[in-house]
Amino acid sequence: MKAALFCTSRYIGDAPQGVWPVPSQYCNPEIAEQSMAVTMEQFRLADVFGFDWVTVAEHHFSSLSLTPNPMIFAGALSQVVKRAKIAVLGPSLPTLNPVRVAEEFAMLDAMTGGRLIAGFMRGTPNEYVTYNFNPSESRARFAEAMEIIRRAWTEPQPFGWQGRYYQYRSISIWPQPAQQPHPPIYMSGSSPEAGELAAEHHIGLGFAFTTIAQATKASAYYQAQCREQGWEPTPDDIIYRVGFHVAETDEEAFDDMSKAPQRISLTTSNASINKAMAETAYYGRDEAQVTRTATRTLQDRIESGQLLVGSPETIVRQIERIRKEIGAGILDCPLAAQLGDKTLRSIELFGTRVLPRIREL
Amino acid sequence: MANETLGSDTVLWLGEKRAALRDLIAAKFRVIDKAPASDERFGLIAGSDAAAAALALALERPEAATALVLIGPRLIDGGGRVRDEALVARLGGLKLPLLTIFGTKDQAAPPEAGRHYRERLANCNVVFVYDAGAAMADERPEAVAELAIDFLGRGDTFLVRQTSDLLYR
Repeated sequence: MKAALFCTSRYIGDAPQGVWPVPSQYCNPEIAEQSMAVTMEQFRLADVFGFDWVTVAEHHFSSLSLTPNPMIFAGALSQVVKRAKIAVLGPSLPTLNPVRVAEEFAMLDAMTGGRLIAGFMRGTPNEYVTYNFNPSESRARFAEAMEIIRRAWTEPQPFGWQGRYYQYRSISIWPQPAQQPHPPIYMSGSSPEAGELAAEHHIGLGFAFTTIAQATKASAYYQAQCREQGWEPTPDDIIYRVGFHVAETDEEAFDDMSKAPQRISLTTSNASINKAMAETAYYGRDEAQVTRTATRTLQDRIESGQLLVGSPETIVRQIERIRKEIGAGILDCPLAAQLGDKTLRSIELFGTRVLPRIREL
Repeated sequence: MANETLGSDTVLWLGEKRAALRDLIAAKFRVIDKAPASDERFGLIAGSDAAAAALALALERPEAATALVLIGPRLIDGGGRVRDEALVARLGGLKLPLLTIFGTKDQAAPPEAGRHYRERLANCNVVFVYDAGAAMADERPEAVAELAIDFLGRGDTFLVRQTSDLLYR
C-alpha cells in the first residue's frame, strides 16, 4: 500500500467552531502565516519519512483550511517536497474555470517533473455558496469540466468548446503536463453516480470521511462498474481517506486525542445550507451521506474506520482491515489533530514504523 | 441580420438539413439550397458528407463565398486518413474563414479528426460540441446554431466574445 499525508493547513489560533462561514475578523495574519509554515514543515517531514504523496485540497471561508486555492500551496510544495508525489485532491471543479484548472495542473506537473496527482472534486456543499453556483447542476458541470481538462491536456491543436455550462472559442494550453498523456486522475465520491462516472472515464476513485462499511460497498460498486466498462481497476485506483494519530503506545495516542481541538465539519456547520442542500439533487443516490457526516465519539470513529489512532502496531492492524475490506491501495491520511511536536512525532512514526509494514499489503 | 460584417444575409446549405437546426439558422439568414448564379455573396454550411462539395465550391468561387461552416465533416478521419487527397491537397488555396464542428461523441466524424484539419489548414477553426454525436443537429441544435450564426456573421473574429456578462445596471 501507499500512503499520503493530507494537511488542510488548519489555522492554529483561536477561531469560532461550528459555524460556516467563519467570520474573517478572527484571522490574525501572523498566525495564518505561522499555520502555513507549520503545514509546510509537516509536508517536508512526510517527504523525508517516506510518505508516497502529500495532499492538499480546496476549502473556503473557514479556519479548517488556509488553502482555498490548493494550487498555490502545491506550487510552493514543489520547491520543498523533493521526492513524494504532490496530490491536489483537489480543486472543486464545478465552481472553477476548467481551462484554468488544466493550466495550473499542467504547470504543477512541469514544475515537479511529473509528480502531480490530479484530483477532480465536486466540493463540499458549502463550496456552492462560496462562488455562488447552483449545487443541483454540480454533477453536470463536473462531468463537462473534466472532459474539457482532459482535452486541454491531450489536444495538439487549438480547439474551441461549445458545452452546456462552458464555452470557449480557442484553447491551447502551455505548458503541457510532463506526464503523458496526462497525470493520474482521481475523483471523489461515495455515491453510485460517482462510481459510474469514474468507471466510464477510466479514472481512480477516492472515499473521504466515510466508514469502512460504506466505502466497502461503494468500492465494490465502482469495481463492478469498471468491469462493465471493460477495464479492471487496481488497488492504486482506490483511495481511502482516514485521519491518523500515532504515538509510541495506544494509551499515549488516545490521551493525545482527548486533548485535541474539536473536529470541524464544513458540511454540518450551517443549518441553512444543510436544509437547502437537502432540497437539491446534490447528494444524488448517496444514501449514506447523512450517517457519514454524523457526529460520533472518538471510539466510534476508530471502530468504523474514520480514524487511525494508536501505536504503530495498532495502526497497522487498522490499515490491514482497510486494505482487505475496501480494496484500497492508497491511504490519504489527514492529521487527526494539530498537537505541535506530538504531531511531528506522529508523522515520523507513521513514516518509519507503519509505512514499511504496509508496503506489501 | 447577423452577418452584416461579412456582407451577406444568405446562407447556402449543402446536404441534409435537420429541422431543429435549420429553423434556428433560418431565423437569422436566408437559407438557400443551390449556389446562386449571379455575383451574390453567400455564407456556406455543410454537414458530414456534403463537406467535400462545400469546400470545392469555396475553392471555385472565392469571390462569392464569405465563410464556411462544416458540421461533422468526414473528409479526414480521426487517424488523419484523407478520403479525397486531390481535394485536400488544394485546400491550401482556401482563403475564406473556415469553422469545423465536431461532436465529442461522434464516431463517424470524431473530435480527433479536428487536429488534422487544423494541421493542414492553419486558419481552420475547430470547435467541439460537448455531448453530441453524429446527430448533433438534433441533439444540441441551439449550441450548433449559436456557433454557426456567430461564425457566419463575424468570421474569424468570432474568437472574441461580444455578448455581455453584465448582471444588472
